[in-house]
Amino acid sequence: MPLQQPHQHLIVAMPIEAKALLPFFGLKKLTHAPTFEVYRRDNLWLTISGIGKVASAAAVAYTYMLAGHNSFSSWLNVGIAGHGHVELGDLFAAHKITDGDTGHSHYPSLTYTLPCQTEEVFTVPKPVTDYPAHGLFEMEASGFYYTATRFTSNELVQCLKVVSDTHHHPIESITPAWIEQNIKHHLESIEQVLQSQKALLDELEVAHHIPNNFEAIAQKWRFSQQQKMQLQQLLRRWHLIWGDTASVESAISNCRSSRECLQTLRNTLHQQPTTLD
Amino acid sequence: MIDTIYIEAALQGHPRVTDILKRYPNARRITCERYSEVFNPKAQNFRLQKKIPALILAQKHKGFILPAPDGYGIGGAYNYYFSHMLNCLYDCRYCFLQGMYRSANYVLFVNYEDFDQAIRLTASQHPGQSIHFFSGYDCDSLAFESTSGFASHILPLFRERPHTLLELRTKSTQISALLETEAINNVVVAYSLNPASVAKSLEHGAPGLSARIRAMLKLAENGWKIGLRFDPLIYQSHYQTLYLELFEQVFSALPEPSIHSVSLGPFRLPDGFFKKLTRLYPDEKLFAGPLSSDNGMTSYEAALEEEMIAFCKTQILNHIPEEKFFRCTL
Repeated sequence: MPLQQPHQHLIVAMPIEAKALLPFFGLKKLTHAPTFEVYRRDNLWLTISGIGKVASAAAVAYTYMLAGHNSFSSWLNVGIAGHGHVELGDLFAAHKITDGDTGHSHYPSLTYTLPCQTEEVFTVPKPVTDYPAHGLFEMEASGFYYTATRFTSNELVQCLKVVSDTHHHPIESITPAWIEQNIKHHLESIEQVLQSQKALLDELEVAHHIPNNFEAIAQKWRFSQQQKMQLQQLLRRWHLIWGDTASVESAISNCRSSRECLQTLRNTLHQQPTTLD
Repeated sequence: MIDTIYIEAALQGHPRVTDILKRYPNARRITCERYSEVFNPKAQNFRLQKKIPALILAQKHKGFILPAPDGYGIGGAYNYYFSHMLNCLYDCRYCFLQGMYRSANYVLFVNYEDFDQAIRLTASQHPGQSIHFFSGYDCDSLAFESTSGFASHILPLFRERPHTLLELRTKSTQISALLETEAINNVVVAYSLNPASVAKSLEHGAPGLSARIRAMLKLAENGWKIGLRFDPLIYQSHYQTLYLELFEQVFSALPEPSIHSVSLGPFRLPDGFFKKLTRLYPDEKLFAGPLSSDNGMTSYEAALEEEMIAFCKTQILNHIPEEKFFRCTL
């Protein structure tokens, strides 16, 4: 029994970007989300933030609260960006995100194999058309990343950008149909990143699994919050030593209080042989 | 092995950086201003990062040589340590680095010449006195040697200063740099050792016990002094059998004259580090052992710790003279 189910979040700036993703992931609109448009299927969420880093940051914070302020979550920003020196339509993940206003940089941890190249992303307040020597130019990533890493670990936060404008394909020539088509072209890669993030969440879930009978035992007597933490730790130790926690019930059957329960578990554990096998 | 390399902007074009980058032509290269931008942010998970750690090439600006903590030493009048690298290629579950750092990325400080200068200065402050330098406190001294070349770089400094002693603490079998040079009397290659089954369970990615013994033997045959560091001692109900077997394996393989020193160290971590480790790895059996907290440190219960130390010391002294034995009380 995990503490909370892991959530995975997609944040996009524009409805046309969402349009490319919604049918593929089977996401349905939530009717009770008036501030931002939010879509969901099971533990996968998508929020349309609007354009700009402040909007993106607000959408992350809003979604986090809407989803039950669950820090056991991953975040993926999908959008478009300009680049002067790569192929139109290419997909990139961010290995560095620099805020154009503050000059402050963030470094997403690259702890899984990505299905695409990586590049530095510059978040700027207005579209860039002169395309400096390197980097992707867009308007949301720094706000998105800064806020998402307030709620989860940076290995679980990433940005994917499709190159939408270059020297040869100026920003004025981008059409909604082009955006939809080119994001659709990378759906499998986007799904692969989501799966990699899910694998990391699964590893954390295993590590934070609460023994099955914790709730039942916690309800037998009145445990303080601190005692509940102690109970979880003791049950984990029990599980590590015996492989399951079924035998706990009989060990504590004669206990009359939470304190006695904890002490009995401690004593029983203490008397057991210790091995690493 | 290394997919991503962060490079401090000021080090672009540094010859050592250029050499290292050549070794990893396919790694993505990312420029940062200071390594701390990548290494220090709060929102990082050591366990997840340890899956594919990145390499950060950085410059150290101060604190090249630091006094070793009290209780850490093998008989020197003055004890210092230095860390040319933060974090280790191995993933030992008991290691304090997991509790100390937020990031599992490797930081390599490439300005070796500043370490040289600090070693020269520190050594000159204690003329004619016994001064020991310890490498491998925040990393493994040799595991990354094929890339860093740090040990090879500093060995000549110690060859020229026979009143000093250098300990290279390691679990690595990357010893070719040492075998290619003439042994230095005042350099000790110190191996951290645990019973084979403990190494297999807890020392992920590190060479197994047999490989370490073979490496020690090769070094000894080439004239290098060997340190044996039974540290940290790990408790299991049958620990006496396991450690007896370990001592037999090690001492029967190594000629006694090649053994410079033997030390024993208990499993001890500051409470804060221990809590972080148990949060990272709640499924680790090591942390389900008979541990307790005292004075801000988590360790085996005092009586058990003393029993283990006493048992191991008695057994070790069957193999070496007492003047070669040291107890780490860190």
